[in-house]
Amino acid sequence: MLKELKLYPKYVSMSLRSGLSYKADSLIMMISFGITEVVSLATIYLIVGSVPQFGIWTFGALAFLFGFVLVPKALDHIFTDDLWILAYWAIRHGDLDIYLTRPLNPLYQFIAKTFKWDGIGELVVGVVVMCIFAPQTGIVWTASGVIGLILCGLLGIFCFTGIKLIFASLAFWVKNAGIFLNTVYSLSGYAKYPIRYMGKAFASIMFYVVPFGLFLYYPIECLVLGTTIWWAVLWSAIAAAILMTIGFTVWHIGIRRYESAGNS
Amino acid sequence: MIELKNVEKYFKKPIRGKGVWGMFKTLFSRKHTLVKAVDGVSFTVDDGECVGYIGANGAGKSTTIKMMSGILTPTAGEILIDGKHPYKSKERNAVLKTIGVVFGQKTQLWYDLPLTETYELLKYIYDVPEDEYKRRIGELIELLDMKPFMDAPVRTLSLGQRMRADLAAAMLHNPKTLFLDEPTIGLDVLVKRNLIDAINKLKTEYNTTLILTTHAMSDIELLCNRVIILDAGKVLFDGSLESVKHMFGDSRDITVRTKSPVDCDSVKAKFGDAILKSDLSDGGHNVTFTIDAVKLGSGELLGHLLSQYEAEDVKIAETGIEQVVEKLYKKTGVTAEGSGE
Amino acid sequence: MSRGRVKKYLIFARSGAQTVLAYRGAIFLWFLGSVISAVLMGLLWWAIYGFSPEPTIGGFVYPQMLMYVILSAVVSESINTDTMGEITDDVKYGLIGMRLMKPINYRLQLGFAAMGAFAARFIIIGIPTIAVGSLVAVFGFGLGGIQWYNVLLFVPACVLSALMFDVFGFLFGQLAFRTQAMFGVMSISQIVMSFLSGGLVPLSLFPAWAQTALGFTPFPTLIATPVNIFLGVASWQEILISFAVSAGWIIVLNLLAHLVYKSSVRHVVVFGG
Repeated sequence: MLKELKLYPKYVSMSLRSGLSYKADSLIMMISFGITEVVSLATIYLIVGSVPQFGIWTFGALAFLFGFVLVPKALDHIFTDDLWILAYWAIRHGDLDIYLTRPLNPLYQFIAKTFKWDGIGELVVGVVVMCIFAPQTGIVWTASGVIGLILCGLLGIFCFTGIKLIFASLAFWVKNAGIFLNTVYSLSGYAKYPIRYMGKAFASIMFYVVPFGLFLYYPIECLVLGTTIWWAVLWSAIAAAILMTIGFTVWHIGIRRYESAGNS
Repeated sequence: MIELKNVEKYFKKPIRGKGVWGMFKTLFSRKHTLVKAVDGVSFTVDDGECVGYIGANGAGKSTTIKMMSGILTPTAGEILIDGKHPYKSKERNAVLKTIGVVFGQKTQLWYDLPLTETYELLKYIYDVPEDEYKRRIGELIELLDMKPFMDAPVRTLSLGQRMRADLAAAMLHNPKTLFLDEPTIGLDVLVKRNLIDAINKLKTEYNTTLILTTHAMSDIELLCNRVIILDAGKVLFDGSLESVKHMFGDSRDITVRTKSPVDCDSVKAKFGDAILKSDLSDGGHNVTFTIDAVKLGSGELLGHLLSQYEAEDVKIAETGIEQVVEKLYKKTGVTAEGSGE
Repeated sequence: MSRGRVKKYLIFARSGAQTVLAYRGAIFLWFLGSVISAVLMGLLWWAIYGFSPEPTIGGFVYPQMLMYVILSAVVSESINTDTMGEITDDVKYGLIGMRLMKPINYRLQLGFAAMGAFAARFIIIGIPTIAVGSLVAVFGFGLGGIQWYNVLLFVPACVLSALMFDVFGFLFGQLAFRTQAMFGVMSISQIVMSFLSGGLVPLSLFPAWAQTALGFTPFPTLIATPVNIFLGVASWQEILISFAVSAGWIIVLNLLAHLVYKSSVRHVVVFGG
């Protein structure tokens, strides 16, 4: 672990410098992520604006939820974006070969090699939106609430990474893991809505099956309702631990059946 | 020392259904075909040996190298490198520190950055002390003549330069064993020759154990003293380079296209049983002689032909691994039908 | 165009359709994703209607809104042809020069391929989804007010919308001549077009000024027009006018794209694409 941590800055600096030749591309990607999120917020505004009051939610509170969802999502995006490449083709093309011949955790090497700074676009939108709408949420801000929220945000990163790792590792078994990952990942977008009101079945899925609701929606719901956020922190921690454990397990079982490419 | 004990590697290829429903079924179905890529291979390689590992496409040679270098886990059997398993998670780091790997088809170099960047990273990954690293990189740059392109981004290097750079990357931590998987693939003759020379220099300089796969017999001749021939996942032959040559002969195909027809019989009469076979086509204007290179130099035959006939085109082909394997089939009585994919 | 030339280009339409069929597995999975998201949007609207003091939102009762969500998913998936991706690849891999040398109009080739792909997508995924969706909306939620001619006119409306999507693709795809970052360009154009054409929220929920402003743009014809025709929201006259407007926009945009293309090609000639 220590070696991995010590090496990480080296990886980040290499990734940043090798990205320099594609600066314009990254900038356009960053703008594109930003625009996508702004459009998505406008959509929420138009939908929620059609009723005077959406249960416990005002538009301000929903906008704050929207901003919060983006933060762990963006951070996970910045650090582990190459899991998408794992899901789509790296395993089928035998791209793990060189990492497996080096005396360092291959999963770490594969993920650490790309530091996707274009994710900062989403992060900035998320933080700005949270700051703008924090006063309009009707939430009574306490130190405990803020610390709890920050913890939930940090744990959320691991939840995202865990879910991505689980479905990306499916590529050891199936050809189309990318599409499965994409379908599951896009569910995270629905954590921006008041999922409690969207039917028991869907709410249960979002809380217990693919727990985006648990670590993204639930903390803000606690704040809006004025109940303690620490239950949400606990649940996020449990979700993070379970998801990461499943993710690593699927990866470890998968890597043993890794077939490289062009074997016969 | 490297030991392979009855190593097997089977790939389960799921029988994929057609269409979307088929894809879903594949997820849950247990039906598959079994491809025996490596099927009970055993051998031992001592320190300092140079082994050429050859076989036709799909014979299982890459799979074996990938198992020895920690990429694939054997289905059965055991691989020990100095007593440790390269594919077991507890032992892999210790093993991997003592080996270096070069793939002809892949690079481990950082694509958009100068070479030094990758080497610096590898220095940390392999825990090479700073002064040791400096000394070694200096030696490698010298040996592999890499000075001209040290500061260029890897994507701008030619294939030959890139291969030398990959070699240096694999040698940086002074590995006891170097695995080369088709290192000369895609290189033209001159560049290939340079690379082989470089590998030879490294080998003698550092006394590295060398295991390489290749399609070119000449690579093996120039680098190895031992040959292992693999077919359909099984070892067909394991012995010294001389014994291979002795057993299967070292032949060349010399093709000449001439203005006037070639009189085959007179050529045969002159060189006797050094000419193994002759093929005439195009009314004698196009002739191919297969000669025993031990008994007769290609130059000698060519010189004779060129002095007698006006040649339009000349081609020399040396015995490829395919021909050796073909001969092996004949010797061992195995039919080619049974071989894997 | 002579009959022989039409025949030549129909080959491209056929190969466009065949490509869709060849990748039907993957396309079906992507489409499944958009069906899931339509279902979830349906749930969201259900919740919203539950809190609404009025039975209608933006002029739609809930069954209509549900059908709107399904139809907009179908239309956007059906017209989602690959004109932009084709140009991007041709420019990126340097094939454009070769394409220009052939005695075939590049623009027409792309257009016909896109229409072939549209037809295949519409038939293999669009129609079944609409059928199932309509059954659910009509018998499960009591959707009414749809006439046979609404359903019939929905088809030409979709054709116009596919033509519109194709010309947008051709126009924005030419950015490939200027930038490498086409992935970003594609995602921006996709999300913006989807929003402005009523693919995410019905345009009737937009503020009045925005609705007026959008009326002067070609975007609503992409999704809102065909969907509103199907739902019977538009009258006969409105439908005919909207067809004329769509056709007008398609012609204008194609002329514009042609001019831009001419200058892009000059760019290729100068820089040796």
